[in-house]
Amino acid sequence: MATPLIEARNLSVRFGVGRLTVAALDDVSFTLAPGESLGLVGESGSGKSTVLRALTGLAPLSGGSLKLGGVAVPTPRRMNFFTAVQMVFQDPYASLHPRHTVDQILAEPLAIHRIPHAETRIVAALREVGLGPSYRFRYPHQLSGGQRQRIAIARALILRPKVVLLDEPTSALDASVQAEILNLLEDLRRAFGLAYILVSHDLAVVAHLCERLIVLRQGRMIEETTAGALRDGSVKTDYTRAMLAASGGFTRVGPTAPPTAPLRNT
Amino acid sequence: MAAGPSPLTAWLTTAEPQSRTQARVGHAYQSFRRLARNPTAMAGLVIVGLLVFVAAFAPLLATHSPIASGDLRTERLLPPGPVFWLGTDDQARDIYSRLLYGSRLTLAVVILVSIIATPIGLAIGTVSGYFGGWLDRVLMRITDIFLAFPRLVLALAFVAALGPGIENAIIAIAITAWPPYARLARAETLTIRNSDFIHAVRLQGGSSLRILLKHIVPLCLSSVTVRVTLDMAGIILTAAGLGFLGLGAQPPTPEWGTMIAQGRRFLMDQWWVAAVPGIAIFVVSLGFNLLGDGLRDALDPKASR
Repeated sequence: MATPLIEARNLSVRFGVGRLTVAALDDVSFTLAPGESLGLVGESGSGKSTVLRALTGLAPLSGGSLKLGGVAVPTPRRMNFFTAVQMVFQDPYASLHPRHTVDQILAEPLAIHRIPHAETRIVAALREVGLGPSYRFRYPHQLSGGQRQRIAIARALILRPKVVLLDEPTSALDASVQAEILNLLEDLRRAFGLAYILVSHDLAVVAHLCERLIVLRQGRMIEETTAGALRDGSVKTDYTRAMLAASGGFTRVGPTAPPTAPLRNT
Repeated sequence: MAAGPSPLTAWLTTAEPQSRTQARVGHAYQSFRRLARNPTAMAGLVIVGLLVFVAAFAPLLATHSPIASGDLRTERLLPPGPVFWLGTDDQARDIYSRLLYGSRLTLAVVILVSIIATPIGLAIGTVSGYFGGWLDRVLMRITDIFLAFPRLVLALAFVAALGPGIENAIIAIAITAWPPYARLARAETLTIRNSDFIHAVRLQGGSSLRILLKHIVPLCLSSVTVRVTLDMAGIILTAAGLGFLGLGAQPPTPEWGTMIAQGRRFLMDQWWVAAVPGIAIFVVSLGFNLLGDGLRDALDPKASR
């Protein structure tokens, strides 16, 4: 078997000190193969976003090891990590600098990594996410939520990463725009052979985009399963089953089935 | 508008700019239009513009020398009239001409103090807010020490140590002016520091210096600009106060505060000698305050929808 792109072993992250310590992540392990797409699901506070923050170094690891392409990832992260791993944030209204034009936003990563031919790269990046060159000199406040998220995706892809971390990329968007963005992500993945780690509380989104998924609860891994198992309902643990029931409409449960899960759709 | 917007307006307000320059100019134009909608802000802008104009063309506008005395026997303490438009002082100098040349000093004080104090405040505030930890504590305690002194008293101490003169007055005011800017910049930085667009730059491998200079400072700049503009009235008053106390500009330099100090002796009988520079200080301070208030509304990022 080829070396996995990302190999995470026994990751743990703690916040706070002394008696107030909270284990945000406890002993989470997973691997991600090139071109594969992995979903992380769980309710609010289950630590799914913390996994991404720990991968990128935004949250310090208190235990465990992390390998990228078979090589241990140092802290602080090196430049080659940032060209291989990029992230799309949840809220497109907060992830774009309010005073920068689209052009400035997309030029920034190219300038940091001293990549030549920025002009053509920027126009190409806009085209990849389905936006014309007319969007290039607009400010974020002149764009809709879906357009902003496309810019955020273009910014993540402009360095040609191998892995893109998606932190609830559609939860801040309208239902109709959600589908557009999901299809765009699917197309881009096929076109560039990207690997995704998708964090979501929306099982339908995860099942749409991912082959494998990990269910997290209170920072621990509850179950590792597949999108297929999710679809035909053959998941192993009660918690996952309860989640499935709670995300009603996805599984065709009868009207009498009580949604007894301790879940909220935030 | 039956004829529709002019080509220039269309170029400025287009939603699809064709170049970086057009985007930037268009953005500035939108901010200016927000400012222009505010009549008091425009009044402030006119006053400040007038100050700049008068300072630039003082030699052309002045009718007499601001320093050389006139005939001390016949031209002392004359009331405003056709020859001396705003009267003369006890040295038989034309107050109108002195006022015009004094605007140069006032403007120089305001500009130099903001050029010195704003970068210091911004640098200390953003570094302190961005890095946090012990650096934040040390820098903020230093700021607290400077904040604890009344501005005029600290300026007095500095001028007393460095010697009187307009240059030392400027340094003294600048040293006492930066702490509020540092506080403000730090507070802004704390709210920006953990936002997603800063995380995004960090994930692109951007250095702390790049994040501070290209992302945090531009966002702090607008609120600090507003604060500096509002403080300019205070800066003018402090400079005038130091001049009044004899610790700022020295006679015969036509500085407004010094002019008031000299006119004080004749306040009862020849009121115009002290009143005219007093009115000038009042009007210019008011102008900066009005402009600052308007800028606050125009530059507020939350209002820029």
